[in-house]
Amino acid sequence: MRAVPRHGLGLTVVLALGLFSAGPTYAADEHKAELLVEVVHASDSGSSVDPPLVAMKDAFTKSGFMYKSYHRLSREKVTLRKGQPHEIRLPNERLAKLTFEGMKAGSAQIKAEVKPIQTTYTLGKAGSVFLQAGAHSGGMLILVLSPTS
Amino acid sequence: MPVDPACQRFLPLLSPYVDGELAPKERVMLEQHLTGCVTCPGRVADFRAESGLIRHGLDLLADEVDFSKFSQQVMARITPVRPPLFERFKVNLSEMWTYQRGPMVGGLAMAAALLVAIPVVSTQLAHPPEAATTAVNSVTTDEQAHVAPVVLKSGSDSIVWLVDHGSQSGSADGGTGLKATLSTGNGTERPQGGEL
Repeated sequence: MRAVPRHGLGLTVVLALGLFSAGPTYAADEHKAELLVEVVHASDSGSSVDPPLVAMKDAFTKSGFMYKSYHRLSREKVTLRKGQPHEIRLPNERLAKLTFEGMKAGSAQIKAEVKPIQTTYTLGKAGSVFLQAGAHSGGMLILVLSPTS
Repeated sequence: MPVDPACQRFLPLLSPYVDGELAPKERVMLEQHLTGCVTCPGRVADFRAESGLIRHGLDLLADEVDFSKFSQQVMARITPVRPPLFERFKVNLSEMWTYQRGPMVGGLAMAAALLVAIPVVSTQLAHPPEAATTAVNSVTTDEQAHVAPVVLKSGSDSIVWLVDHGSQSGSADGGTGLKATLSTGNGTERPQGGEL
């Protein structure tokens, strides 16, 4: 009897494990959702724009906003547990409250609240929600909610 | 009858000689002795005759035996022994690998593919594809705030802004009209957000 070449079987196992590990990952499931939360200060003073915020400035400009400077004050990845609000204290002392309300058609439903505004949105693979978060230091605070990927 | 001392050493070799069992060196020595001896050739002839008789007798006995069911009778006397499972598995595996290598490798590849595909597919079924872009579903404000929300779409992004009641209705999808107003201004006409 010829010896069974073990390297062939080993290669198959390694390939299978590699494919397993390359499977899709999800930022949200039934119990939790991850999102990126940024606080941006936009104002008319100055003209500097933080490099990562150039795309945001373009989006605002296209929508008719003429702020000249955009500065990121904070950036954090937040994991929301279903039904448990996550609070973020903003520099203007307002409170931003984020809640994961559950999954709908495979996408996380997020409720964001900065008094007096409440919004619910679907967290997709791309795109951000820019939420007006009140005046601050001669400009406006904007809460930016994005997917982590 | 006394044996010639010259023949004494050759007597044990006679029967093997007749049966063809002597080494070449011994055979040559014996044959040299046989050419000069008067009694040993007779002894050799006796051995040959005896051997022929024995062979003939055995042939007669063999003719009387019925071998027609020999193999069946032998197999019937063999007690079947079932080897352990692992031993049988090893034998089966080795035989398959030797004689049916192609189908075996194909089967293994198929099994590996299924091992990979089933978890992936089940994961996909458990997680429907998430939305391509983030989208605002609803926006509300406190009534006493005297502001109204507007949602402006810009590519895959959404801007949720507040305007005074006087400048916009409370509809969340009033972005188009607002955008037209905003686009004409240089910053002074953008939504002010009211008194938050």
